Amino acid sequence: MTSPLAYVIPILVDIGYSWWRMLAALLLSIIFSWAVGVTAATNKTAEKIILPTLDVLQSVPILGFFPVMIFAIIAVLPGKPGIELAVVFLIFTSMAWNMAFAVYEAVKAIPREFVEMTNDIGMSALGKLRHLYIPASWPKLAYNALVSWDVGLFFLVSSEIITLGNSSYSVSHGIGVAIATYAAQGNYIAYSEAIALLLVVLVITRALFLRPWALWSEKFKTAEEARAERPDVVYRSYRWIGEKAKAKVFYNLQGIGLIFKPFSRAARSINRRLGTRSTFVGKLAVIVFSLFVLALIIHTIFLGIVAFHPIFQLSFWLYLAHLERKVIVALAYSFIRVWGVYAVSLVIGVPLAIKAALSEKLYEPVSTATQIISSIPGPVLLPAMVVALLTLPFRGELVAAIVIFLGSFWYIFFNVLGSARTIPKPMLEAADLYGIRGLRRWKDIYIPAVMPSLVTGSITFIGGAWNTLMVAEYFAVSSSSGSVVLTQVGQGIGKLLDIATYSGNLPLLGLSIISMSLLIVAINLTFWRWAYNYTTKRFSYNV
Amino acid sequence: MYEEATQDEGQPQEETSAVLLTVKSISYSVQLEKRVLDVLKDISFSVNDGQFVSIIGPSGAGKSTLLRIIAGLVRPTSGHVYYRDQEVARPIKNISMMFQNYALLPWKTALENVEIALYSNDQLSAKEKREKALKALTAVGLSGFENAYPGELSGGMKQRVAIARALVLEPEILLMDEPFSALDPLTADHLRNEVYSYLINPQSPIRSVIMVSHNVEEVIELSDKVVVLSPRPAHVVGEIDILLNRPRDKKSFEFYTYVDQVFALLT
Repeated sequence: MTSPLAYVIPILVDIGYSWWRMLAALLLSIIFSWAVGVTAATNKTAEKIILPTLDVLQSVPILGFFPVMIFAIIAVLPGKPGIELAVVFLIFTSMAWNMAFAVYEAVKAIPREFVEMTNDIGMSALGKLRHLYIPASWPKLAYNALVSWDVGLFFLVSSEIITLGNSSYSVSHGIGVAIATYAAQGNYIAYSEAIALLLVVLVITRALFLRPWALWSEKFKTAEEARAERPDVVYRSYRWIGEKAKAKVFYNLQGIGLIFKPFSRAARSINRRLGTRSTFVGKLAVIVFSLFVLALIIHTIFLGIVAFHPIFQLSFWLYLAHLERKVIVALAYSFIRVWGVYAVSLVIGVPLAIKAALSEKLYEPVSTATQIISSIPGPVLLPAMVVALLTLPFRGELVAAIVIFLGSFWYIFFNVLGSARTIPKPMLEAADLYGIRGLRRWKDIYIPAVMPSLVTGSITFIGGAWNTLMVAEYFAVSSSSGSVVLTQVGQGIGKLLDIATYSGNLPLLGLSIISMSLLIVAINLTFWRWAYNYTTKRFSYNV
Repeated sequence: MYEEATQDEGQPQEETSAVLLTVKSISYSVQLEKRVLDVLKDISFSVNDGQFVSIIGPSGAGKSTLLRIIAGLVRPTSGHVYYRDQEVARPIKNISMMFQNYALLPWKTALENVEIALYSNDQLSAKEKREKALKALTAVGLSGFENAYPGELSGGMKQRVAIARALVLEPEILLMDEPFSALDPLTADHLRNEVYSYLINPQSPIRSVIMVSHNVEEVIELSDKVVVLSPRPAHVVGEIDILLNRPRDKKSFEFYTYVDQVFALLT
């Protein structure tokens, strides 16, 4: 048995590898955000193309695309550099879209007079970028990077673990690799050390890099923004992400409308000919149909790369239909799983967040603790959970639920915490004055007050949850005797995606991704849109 | 004492001083979803060398848009703006603008905020730019504050930084969009004459000022000529020459005669 200390250096080296990927992705995201965000905000034509594109990219569960991405990148750039690039690119895709929106919004929000002033004094385009657009985008960019870091970390660890499924598609160093390897070897001392060290490095990174950066960026705020009273940066960033997600739900409509204008026009003329009116359901049907067509197109192109000929054969389409049946069943299981965990998160998160926000004694310690816990990427705890829950029935379900919970709970918690913290004092004083307490106080004061934020957090929760499925529902590590499945659920879209990836079943992979994206977008457009409209109309107290 | 302009003709000019700026039948409309909204309709007036001209009108009448058209920041739907004989189709060096909320970059010091106006000037060295900016700050009485950020300055001081930035380009015409509206009334009252003296003095490069405002007393206190606009679509309902000696006594009978005249045109 080696000394426990012997693992410290290798683990730190692994963390170093992971951190380089994170930083490279972050840097890439910042440059991308400036380029795309500023262009979209300053050019009307570019805006029309960039916004819907970003939005579509943001709405799809990116993790599902990772295997495809690896195949594509490795085809161009074989070997380790290709894999490294694929991992960095994956993290980039989890960080960049929100940050690009952040820059876009920041530049859009620059008071018109500032832009006119630079025109009036004859400043060059490069000068504007340097002296106006980039500085003005710092605050939103930095807050956003805080959350992006958490999300990116989840993707980093996941990608390092996922790639382990097939050694030719895997990185050889990284904290995810280390954790998965130690777990596979049953080396729980090294495993615990790895998690502890990861946590330490994480806290240090936050304290010495991300937080100071966010605080530094405050000086780039325009005066009006700075005056408003503000909660802690972390809540601000979570809330902001939530706001984005909310806006996204609406933007989806515009974006899709833009892409599918020809389709909807055709549908309208069909409707007219049939004498039916264009209802919401009708529109939705058109959207779903159009998305399906787009999916088919993408899928066809995608298949065309791998196998050109089968698409002309009926048997192939029958095979696809057979696969789609499997996909739909898997989706139904996953849907129940995601929404089940969502219900549990509501029951735990809402009261906890409100209690913590309103108590002076609890607020500081709870917010500090939750900020640290929230930054742990859920997948690293998987192996420990598998062991801890070994004897329990439904172990796979439990593990999946916990991973989903750890990945998404924070969106609800921090959104509600931030919003409960800013319940207007007079409202609470009035409640005291009229003796509203106990259950009534929750029902009539607290819950309605946090409702809009709760919906915000919920939309993000569900979006995030679908992304975690690929890790939550199926988890295999490779060992000397081949691949060992540590945990899995009975059925689920994440599991299906994993299996399709490992077995190289590209039609199944494509169908799964497309079907899942479709379902998510459909729910966004119907349920969440309604919930958002309803709650903002009904529960907003600053009308 | 004053002349009313006819709408389509511009206004009669005193032939004694040169015309520095001419606004000639400017119209401006915006395309809304379903209809066209006329904002400005056939506006003409001119500004003589040495004149302080104010444009006054009800809020929402498009005064600021008119000022931006004069600055070359916004293109009119029809009509032209001439600086001497040169048409203003884009921002030019001889016309500078001071914005309503001053548009000071919060992340740059007072000095840097003045200096950015010189960034695109290739003929000056970095040191010369700095010296010029310092001189401009000193001219508005802000020496000693060059390293302060806008957030650390009072409203009046911010306004002076904005003036310094406008002055450093040495324009002949300065456009001011509601220059006192961002200040509290007491400060604004106190600063008006001071601002006038920064702008119109023998050392100043500025020869004429065009100010947009909705405050009648402010306008009478500062202007040589007042152009009164109607509600939307805005057109010129009258021009009044203010023939009072400076500094003006706001309590005098003559002063109030002018106030009444402007109000009569506005309502």
